[in-house]
Amino acid sequence: MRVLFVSWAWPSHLLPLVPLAWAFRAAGHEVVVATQPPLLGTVTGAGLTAAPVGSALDHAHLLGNALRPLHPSDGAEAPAGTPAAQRPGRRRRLGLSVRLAEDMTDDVVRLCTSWRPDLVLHEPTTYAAPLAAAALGIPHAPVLWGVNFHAAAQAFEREAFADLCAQLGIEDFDSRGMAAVDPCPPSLQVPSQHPRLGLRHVPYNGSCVVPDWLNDRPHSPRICLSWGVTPQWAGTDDHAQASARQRELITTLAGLDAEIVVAVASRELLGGEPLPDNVRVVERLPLHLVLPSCQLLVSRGGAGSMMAAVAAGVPQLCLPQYPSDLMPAERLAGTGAAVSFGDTPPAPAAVRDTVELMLRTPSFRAAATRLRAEAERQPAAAAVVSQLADMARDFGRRPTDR
Amino acid sequence: MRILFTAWGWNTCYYPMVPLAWSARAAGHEVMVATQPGLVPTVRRSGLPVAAVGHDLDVAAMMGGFLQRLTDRDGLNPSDWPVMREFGARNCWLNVAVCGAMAEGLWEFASRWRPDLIVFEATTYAGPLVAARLGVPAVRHTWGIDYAYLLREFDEEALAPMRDAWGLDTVETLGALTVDPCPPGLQLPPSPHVPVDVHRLPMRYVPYNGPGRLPAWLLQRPRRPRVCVTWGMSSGRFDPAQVVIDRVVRAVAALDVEVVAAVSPADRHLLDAMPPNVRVVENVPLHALLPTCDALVSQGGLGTVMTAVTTGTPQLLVPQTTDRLVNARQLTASGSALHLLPDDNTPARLQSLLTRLLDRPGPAADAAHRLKAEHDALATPGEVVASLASLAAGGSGGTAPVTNRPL
Repeated sequence: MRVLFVSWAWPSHLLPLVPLAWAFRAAGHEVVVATQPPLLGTVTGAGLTAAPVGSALDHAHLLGNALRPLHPSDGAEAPAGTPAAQRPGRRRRLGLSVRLAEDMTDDVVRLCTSWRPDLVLHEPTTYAAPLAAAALGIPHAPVLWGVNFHAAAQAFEREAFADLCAQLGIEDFDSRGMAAVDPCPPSLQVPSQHPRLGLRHVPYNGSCVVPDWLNDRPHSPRICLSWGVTPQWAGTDDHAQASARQRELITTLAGLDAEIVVAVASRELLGGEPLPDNVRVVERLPLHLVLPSCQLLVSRGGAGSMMAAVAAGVPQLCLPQYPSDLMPAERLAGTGAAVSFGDTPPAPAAVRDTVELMLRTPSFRAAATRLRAEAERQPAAAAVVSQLADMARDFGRRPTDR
Repeated sequence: MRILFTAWGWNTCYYPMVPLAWSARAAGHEVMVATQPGLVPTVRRSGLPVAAVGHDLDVAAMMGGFLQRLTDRDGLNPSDWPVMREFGARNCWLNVAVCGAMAEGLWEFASRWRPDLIVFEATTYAGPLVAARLGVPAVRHTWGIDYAYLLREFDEEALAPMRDAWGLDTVETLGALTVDPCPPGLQLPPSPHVPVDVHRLPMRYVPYNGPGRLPAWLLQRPRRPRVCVTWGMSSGRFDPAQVVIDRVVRAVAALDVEVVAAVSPADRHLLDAMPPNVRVVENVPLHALLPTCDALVSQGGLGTVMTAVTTGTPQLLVPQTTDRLVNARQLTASGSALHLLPDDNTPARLQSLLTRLLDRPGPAADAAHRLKAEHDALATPGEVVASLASLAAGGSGGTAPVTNRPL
């Protein structure tokens, strides 16, 4: 069977597709991963075959415009003055999704017409995939990254994508596809009436050369601070101020009797001055390698970081930075494995006190262990591959819905 | 479970293990790849975490010198295994040299990382040595047609110094199990000279020839038969004179076919002025290219021939080394391939054999199709991972392995 994976070009959206793509390859299927040009190297860097669709947009700029931080720096620019842009949340997010779909859909249709995939799997905000699949009658399904905060946007899809549907000559499409492939343990996931295929989550945060220190047990509790990839963008938040706030948080946490591992995409984010001795800054070290040795993860609660810590059974402190971070953090806190600051500004002293409290309260670790066990009970990728392949075959046997 | 994959620093020996490592990751196991420093970027590009162990050797130069000495002695045609066998334990020279360069480093790493299981590339002797010292099971991973199995006859002698240095009584270089990505009907029969049984767990060969991009032209059906010509990734590193792809491409292009010549960047200059029905490509994975081809002409290296088995592509092979002659003989016996020895590699001979392979319907296409069907029925890497987990837990490896007994 030929399976096409599609994601727009942002690492935290593309990377969660990789282990499932590997599992399809390992089951003997042909796999191609289509993305916009900037991330073709990320696809080939995961050992997979890449196909370019769409163009090299300024994704950082687009994201920066689409998402406003919860706690903007002093003097941050006011958001653009149009009434639509002032409305926070869903409509603005779909604005980005529409822009991406406009860029990618024609090429995805072309690729599907020539390569003829039997199944299209896609990252949930990459609408070019379900649009093209609907136009060509190909079975499709989204692969969720974690807590599905995007589900609520579905109510706006029909209106937002009306023009693209018209161009494709279809009346409507269903972005939910046959079923959602869902790596999130059910107790953490948002309830949904739509069919779900549970998947045992395997974090893929890139590859690396394993540093020697990871093989030794830490002498004091190890705490990981992660900023994921997303803060790389130069949005309305002022870069220098964000960097100063991060340094202040790090130095405050370093006052604890703990080893602080700061995982960043680039050291530049932290400025040049030295940090305390018990702080170790690592660039591009996959979280799934460092988390098993950690007592706690402190992050904004982005899906990649959160799910890697769930898989490792590590308690989490979530410091949401964007409105879309709030609901997943709240869900995670509801399992007992995390504390969320919600929309409270993360004052460094308050964060340090919470970390201290979490380190000496065993219930967080116990809840994280339960959550990991629940994640491990989800069907492994090989089983999900068989299920999806069967569903795709059945789809071909009955008349299509449209 | 923690699974350590180890391979010495040669890309085409590492590639066949990648799908099993992916499957282990996808099933939720912790996976690490340990290799010599020179291969680290290649492992990273396969998406897996890697530890650099030991130091590099200039294997390209070592193999080049070795092949030159053989050519000076015997001419261009490679010797059959029974002739090479006369050299005894010296057949293992390269594997022993590589083992010396990486065994201590692998031990240092593995004794701290503490794997539950070590999966080793078939010629990476450091794998079973370290597993024996750690007291964990060792699983051998072949590249397909199992030339390394023949060397087992001499392994005990070849590894004696290393075993003594570490105070180990026995080290089984065939491992507790052999994961064998090869249809059983294509695999080498048991050798009367190999003193122990080999326990094979047949597995589908999922071709991984490195990552790459899918070019748009590949998706258009060719008007004429499409023939892929490649000389692999290793020959040019051993000895540029082995890469006779320019002569071969010219001979093939004289037929009414479309030729796709897949070359490594280093060999591209050989194909500068070619007829219009020749397309030269670099870095297109063979597993993406071959499903669109009607035949393959190659040097007969392991990754190349096994990829063609999985796509059901008839093959014409020109083997220049003993291991490739072994491949060529096995594939020719299956009916899916024909081969020419270097002395006999004239344009007329090549065209005549290739024309036979391109017959549709024809016996070669039928045989390639049967071999593909046999291959497709084998266990997937995902299923084999479950067997390995059972082995590490003290079981026998789950499904009953196929045991080849000496005749």
